[in-house]
Amino acid sequence: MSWTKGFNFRGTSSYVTDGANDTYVVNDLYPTTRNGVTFGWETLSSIDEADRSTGVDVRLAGINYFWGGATSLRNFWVDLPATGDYEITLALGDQAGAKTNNKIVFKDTTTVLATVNPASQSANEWADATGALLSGANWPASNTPLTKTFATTRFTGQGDQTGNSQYFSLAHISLNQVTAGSATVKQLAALGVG
Amino acid sequence: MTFAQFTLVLEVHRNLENLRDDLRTNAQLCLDAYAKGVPPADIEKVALQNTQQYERRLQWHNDFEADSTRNLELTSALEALGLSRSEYEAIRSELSQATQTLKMGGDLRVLAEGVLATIEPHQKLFRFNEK
Repeated sequence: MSWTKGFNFRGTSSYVTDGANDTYVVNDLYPTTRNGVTFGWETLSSIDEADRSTGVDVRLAGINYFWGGATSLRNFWVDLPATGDYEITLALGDQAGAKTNNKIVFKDTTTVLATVNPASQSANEWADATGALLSGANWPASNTPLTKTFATTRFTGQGDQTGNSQYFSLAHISLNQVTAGSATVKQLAALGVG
Repeated sequence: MTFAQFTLVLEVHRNLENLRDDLRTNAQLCLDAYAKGVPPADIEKVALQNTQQYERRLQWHNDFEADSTRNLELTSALEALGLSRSEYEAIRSELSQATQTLKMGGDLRVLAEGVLATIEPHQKLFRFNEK
């Protein structure tokens, strides 16, 4: 059975209606269990939340954010059902404001798997999991997930604004467990088969 | 009381208090989903996953307790903070009982109402101030 869980970061739970596999994150402290998954921020120190717009895709409707400084690392954790391959979908940015050096690092418990760090983003311009920048209108259909192998059952999305006096701002993360079958389908698709 | 003891109690407390909230919140979300006409199979799938997560979080306590050295450290840390081991055990038992009842299955609406009736919400300063 496939396992897909999405997290829509925003200011209030009822601001928009989440998709079937998604739940809101409104300053949820780890461990929180909702929508069949355990997740949350390691600490809520300095983490703030905001609703932005109901006129965009619900996954981009709000943000959780924090201000950078000397050592500004904030971990968002998700308990995965098993080790293995997961597709990561990301919307890093802010519907209502430009961002500079917005940075998120994907890890399992300790190992860095990928970093997304756009130097500059306009309002409603989103970095996907590959680091590509997309408009709010294009992100829903055109964002590209990133597949990574998790050696532990913890997903860590680490907001990193160390030494950067700017805001970190995150709207959406989702994780899709890649089963052997679906990987095969993807490989066949890549070869133009199926 | 040391910082290490305080950290340990803080994590134990956070897990149990969040679990209490999650049991109640998810029970209400389950009832709301039925009221909105969400397909029962979808509600049941999430409810099952939630219950598995509750069990997992309670198991963390069992695993810690099974290590005699750590178990003694926890008792000392609780007592250093003026908390009792017996209250800790009673809360674990209360939450475990609710989780086991959910695991046994049955009419999810009845089970959700049961959780809301039996799991007492604790007083919350932040929630009290929500408008």
